[in-house]
Amino acid sequence: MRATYEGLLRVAHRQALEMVGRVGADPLEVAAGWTAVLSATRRHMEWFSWELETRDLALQIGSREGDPPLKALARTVGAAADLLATQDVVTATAFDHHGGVAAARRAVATIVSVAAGAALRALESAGAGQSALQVSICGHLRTVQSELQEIASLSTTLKLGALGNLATSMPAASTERFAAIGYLASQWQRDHEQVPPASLLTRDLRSISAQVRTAAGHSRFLIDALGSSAQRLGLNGPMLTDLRAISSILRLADHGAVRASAAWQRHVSDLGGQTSLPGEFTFAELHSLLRDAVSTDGRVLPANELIPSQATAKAILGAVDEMLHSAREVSRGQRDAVAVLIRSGRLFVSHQAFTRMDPSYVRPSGPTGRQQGSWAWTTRQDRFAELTSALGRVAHCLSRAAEGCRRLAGTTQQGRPSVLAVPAKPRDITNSISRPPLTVKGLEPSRNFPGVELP
Amino acid sequence: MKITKPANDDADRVRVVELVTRAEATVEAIEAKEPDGAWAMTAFSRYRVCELLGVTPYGPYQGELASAPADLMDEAAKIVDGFDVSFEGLSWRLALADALRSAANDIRMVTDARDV
Repeated sequence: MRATYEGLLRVAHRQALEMVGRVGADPLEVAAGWTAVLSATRRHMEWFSWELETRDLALQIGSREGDPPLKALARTVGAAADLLATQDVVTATAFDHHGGVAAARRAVATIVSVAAGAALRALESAGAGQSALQVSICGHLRTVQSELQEIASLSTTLKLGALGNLATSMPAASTERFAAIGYLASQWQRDHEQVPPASLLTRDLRSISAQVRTAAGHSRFLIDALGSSAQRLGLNGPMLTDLRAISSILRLADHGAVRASAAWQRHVSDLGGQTSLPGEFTFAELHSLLRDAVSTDGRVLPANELIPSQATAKAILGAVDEMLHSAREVSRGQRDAVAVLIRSGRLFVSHQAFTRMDPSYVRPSGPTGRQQGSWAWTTRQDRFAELTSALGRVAHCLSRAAEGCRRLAGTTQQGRPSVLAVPAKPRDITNSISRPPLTVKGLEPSRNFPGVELP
Repeated sequence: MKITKPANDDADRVRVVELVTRAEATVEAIEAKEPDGAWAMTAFSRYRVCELLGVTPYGPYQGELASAPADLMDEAAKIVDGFDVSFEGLSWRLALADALRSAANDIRMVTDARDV
C-alpha cells in the first residue's frame, strides 16, 4: 500500500482539526513545535512555486522538544513535501495541472492556518499576564495565519486531480506477510534500476530473465488461487473474468520467458561466473518470502488455506500488483539494456547460428583462443531477432498483466515514480514547464483579471 | 564479491556437475511438455544453482533424462556438504548447498502441485 499525496493531506487535515484545544500553553514549547510546522510548510509551498512571506520566529528555542500535536503535523506536512520531491520526470507532469496545484496550495494553507489558530488560542487562554515572549509569539502566529488565509482564498478549486494521486516511490514497509512481499518487490525493482545498462554481462541478463520469470510465475500462482477461491470469498463476476484474463496473459509471458532463456544459450558476452548484481540478492530474499507464503513443508498450500478471508485476498492483490509492476519495469529495463548492448557490439552470436542465418558468412581465419573460436561479433540487430523478440514479448505481456492487476487492486490512478533519480529542486520543475514564479507580493491577478484562473 | 572455487575434489565436483546438468535437462524437458505448468516458480533457484556451480548451458544435453530431478539435486547437495574448501570458499560451499536444496524443494513443490 503506497501513501498517496491526497491521503497524506487528509491525515494532516485531521491532525490539525484534532489539535484544537490540545496544544499546550508553554510558549517555548509551542514556539518550538510551530517552528517545525512553519519550516515544513515553507518547504512544501516551494513545490507550488510559492514563497511564504513570514520569516521564522527569531527566538532561541534551545533544545526544546516542541509541542507533540504540532510536531506530528510538521512530520506529516514534511512527509507530503518529500513525496512531491521524489517524483520522477514522468509523474511530475501532475504539476502541469494548474487547478490541482492551486487546490493543493489552498488545502495546505487551510490546514496550517487551522493549526496556527489552535496554537494561538492555547497561548491566549493561558491566562495571567502575557510575557513579552508570549506577545511576540502570538503576533507572529497572527501574521502567519492571515497570510495563509489570504493564500487559501486565492483559489476556489478543491479537486487535486492527478496531483492527489501521486504516490510514494516505495510501498510502506510492513511485517505483514504480503505487504512485505510488495515492499521487497519494489526494492528489487529499484536495485535493478540503479545498474547502468552498459555494465551488464550475459550472466547478469540471464539472471534477470530467471528472476522475472519466477516473479511472474509466483504471481500467476497467486492469481489462480484467487480465481479458484472467487466463489467461496464472494468475489464478483467481472473480477473473476479479469483474474482469468490476467492468468492467461501471464501464461503467454511464461512462454516468452522460456524462449528468452533458450535464446540466451545462443548468445554470450562473457564466460560465465557469478553475478554481483544487487538485484539478485534482493530477489533471493523476495523468493524465500514468496516460497514461505505459498507453501509449507515443501508442499504447496491449497487455495482455501492460502486465502482464508477477503482481507487476505485484498492483501494478496496488493502484493501481486506491486510484483507485476516491478516485474514489468525490470523486464522493460532488460529489453532496453539488451538493445544498448547489441548496438555497442557487446553481445556475441555463436558461429553456428551465424552461418545458419547468413550462408555467405565466412568464419574469420587466424589464431583465435579456444572460446573466441565459437563466437562472432556483430552489431546487427537482426542477428539477435529471436532474443529481442522473446524479451519484447515478455515485457509486453507483463505490461498488460500489470495493468489488469492495477485495475483489480484499484491503484490505476496512482502516479508511481519509476526511476530513482536525484530529486529535483522545486525551481527545476517550474523551469521545465516555464511558469513564472508567483513570489512577488502585491501581485494578485485575481483582483485585476477576475476571469483568470491562478496557476 | 569474488568467491574462489576449490581446486581439489575434482571427482566430486565432476559428479555434482553431472547430477545438476542431468536434473536441469530433465526439468527443461518436462517444462517443454507442460507449457502451462507452474515450473516458472523453480526458474530462479535452478538458475542460481547453475550460476554458483559454473554450469553454462551452451550445448544440448546428450545423456539420459532422470525420473526424479529433485532427488538428483538433493544427492548433489549431500556431496557438496562434503567438499573440502578453503576458508574463502566456505561461503560458496554453503551458498551452493543451500541453492541445491532450495531448488530441490521448489521442484518438489511444483511436482506435488501438478499431481494434486
